[in-house]
Amino acid sequence: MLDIRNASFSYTDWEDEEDTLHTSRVLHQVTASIAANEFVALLGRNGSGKSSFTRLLNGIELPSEGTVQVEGRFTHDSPSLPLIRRAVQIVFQNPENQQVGMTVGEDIAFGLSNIGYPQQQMQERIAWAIDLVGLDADEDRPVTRLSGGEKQKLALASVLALSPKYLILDEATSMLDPLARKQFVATLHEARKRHPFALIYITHHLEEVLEADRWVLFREGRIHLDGPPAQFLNNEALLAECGLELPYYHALALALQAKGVSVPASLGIEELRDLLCRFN
Amino acid sequence: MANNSFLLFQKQNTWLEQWDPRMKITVSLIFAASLLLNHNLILKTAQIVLLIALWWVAKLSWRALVFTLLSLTIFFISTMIYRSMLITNPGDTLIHLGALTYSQQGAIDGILMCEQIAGIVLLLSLVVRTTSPIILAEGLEMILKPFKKLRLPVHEMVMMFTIALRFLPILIEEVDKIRKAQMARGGGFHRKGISSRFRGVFPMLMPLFVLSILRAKELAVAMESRCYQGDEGRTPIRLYQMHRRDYSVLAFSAINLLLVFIV
Ligand SMILES: Nc1ncnc2c1ncn2[C@@H]1O[C@H](COP(=O)(O)OP(=O)(O)OP(=O)(O)O)[C@@H](O)[C@H]1O
Ligand SMILES: [Mg+2]
Repeated sequence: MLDIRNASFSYTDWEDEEDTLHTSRVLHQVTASIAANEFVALLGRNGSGKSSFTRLLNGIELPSEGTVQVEGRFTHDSPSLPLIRRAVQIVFQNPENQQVGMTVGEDIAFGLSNIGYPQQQMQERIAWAIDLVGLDADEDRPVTRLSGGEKQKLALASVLALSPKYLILDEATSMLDPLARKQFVATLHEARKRHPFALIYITHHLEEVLEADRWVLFREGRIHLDGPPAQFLNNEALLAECGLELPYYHALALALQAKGVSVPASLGIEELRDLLCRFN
Repeated sequence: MANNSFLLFQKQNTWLEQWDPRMKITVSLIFAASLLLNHNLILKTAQIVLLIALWWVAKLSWRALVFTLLSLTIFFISTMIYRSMLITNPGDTLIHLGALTYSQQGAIDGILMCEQIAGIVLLLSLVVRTTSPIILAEGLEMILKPFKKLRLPVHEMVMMFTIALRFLPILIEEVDKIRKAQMARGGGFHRKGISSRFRGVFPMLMPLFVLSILRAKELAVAMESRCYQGDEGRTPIRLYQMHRRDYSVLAFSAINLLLVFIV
C-alpha cells in the first residue's frame, strides 16, 4: 500500500531582487492512500500539484511535513530508498528525456543493471519486456529511430522490466497522436492483465480513465475530491471548474438523463449508436 | 536526423564489433603509438592501408571514409605547404610541385605527417563507429578501474561521456529547430557577411543552453527513478570475456609496434 499522511511540500527558489531564498508551498497537508493493483486517476489543472505529489511517492523528493510510506517503508528512511524506487516506477511525459541507452536493449538494461539484475538473465528479461509492450523493434534498434508512440512504449518496457508494484504515468500520452495514444493505453492495460500492478495515472483526458477505480482531484495543492468516477460525472459544474471535459458521448448521456431519457450513465460509443438507431 | 546519424555507431554485427572493448581500446592506443613513432614511409603507408582494410571489414560506408578524409584536406594542404623547403641539405635533389619546392626529405616528412593525421583520425572513427557507446564506456571503466582506488570519479566521468554521446543527435536537431525559428523571425544564421552571421550564432546559444539544462534536470530525475545510484551494486550490461581472437589482435598490434622499432 502507498500511504501519504499530511504531506506538505515546497520548492525553494532563489529570489533575485531580494537576494533571499523563497519557498513556495505547492502541496498542503495531503492525505491519501493507494492500494495494491488499484487504478487511480490524478486530475486537476496545470500547476495544481499532481506531478509534485508523484515525486514524493518514490522518494525523489521528501515531504517537508508529514510522511510517505511505501509497503510499510518510509521514504525518509534512506536505506529503504532502493527498494521503494524499485517498487514505484514513473513514466514521464517526454520520452526523449528519460532514455539513457542508445538502443532499445541498452535502455531497458539500464534499469536492470542499476538494481543488480543477474547478468546472465538480462538478455532474456529485455526480450520479455519488449514482448510485454508489443514493441515492434529488436533490441539493437537505435532509440533515435523510433516513433513517438514507440519511444513511449519503450519507456513503459524499461520500467516494467523492473516489475514495479506501482506505476505512475505522468501525462505519458500527452505527446502522442490520438491513434498512438489509444494503442499506448491498450498496451498498458494488456500488460496490467498479465502482470498486475497499481496504476497511478495523471491525465487531462477523461476518456482514458473512465475505467479507473478512483479519481483524485487536485486543486491548488490540496486534494479537492477523492472518490469513484460516478461521483464526479454527476457534478458537471465541478468538472468545468477544474478544466475537465467529458467525452462527448458521455456528456450526451448525462444531458439525456437530465431530460428524463433512461440511458446508462456509463454510455459508450456502441451503446450510443444502438440508442440512436432505435429512434430511426 | 538522417545526415548526422551516419557519424555515429550503427549496429551491423561485424567481426570488429565483437571484439572485446578493453582490447579494442588498448589496441587502438598501441596502434596510435606505433603510428606516431613510425618514420618509415613504406611501413606507415602499410598501416594506413591496414586501417582502410579494416574499414572494409567493418562494412562501413565508403562515403563516410571519403567524407572523413576530405574533411582533413585543409590539414593535408597546410602540412604540405609548411614542409616545403623546410629541410634542405646541400646537394639535395629538389622537387618542384607548382609554386612549392621540396627537398626529398622534406617531401617524405610532409607525406609522413599527412599519413599520421589521416591514420589517427581513421583509427578513432573506426573505434567509435564499430563500438556502441555504452560498451565503449564499460570497457573504459574496466580499464580505468585501478584509478577508482585513488578516488577518481571514473564511473561518473564515463557516464557523462555516454550521456553526452546519447544526446548529441538530439542537440543537433535542436540547433536546427532554433535556427529555423529565428530565421522565421528574420534573425539568425542566414544573413550575409561573416561577422553578422557570427553574431547570429549567439541568440541560438541561450535557448540551447536553457533547453539542455531542462533536459538534464528531467533526465536526472528519470535516472534516479530508475534506481540509478552511481556504480554501487550495478551489474554490467554484458559479460566481457577476452577470447583467443582478442589475444591474437593484441599480439598483432604488439608486433606492429615492435616492427616500428626494428625498421
Ligand atoms: N522545480 C520547480 N521549482 C519551483 N517550482 C516548481 C517546480 N516544479 C513545479 N513548480 C511549481 O509547483 C506547482 C505545482 O506544479 P506541478 O508540476 O506539481 O503541477 P501539475 O499539477 O503537475 O501541473 P501540470 O498539469 O502542468 O503538469 C506549480 O505552481 C509550479 O509552478
Ligand atoms: Mg505535471
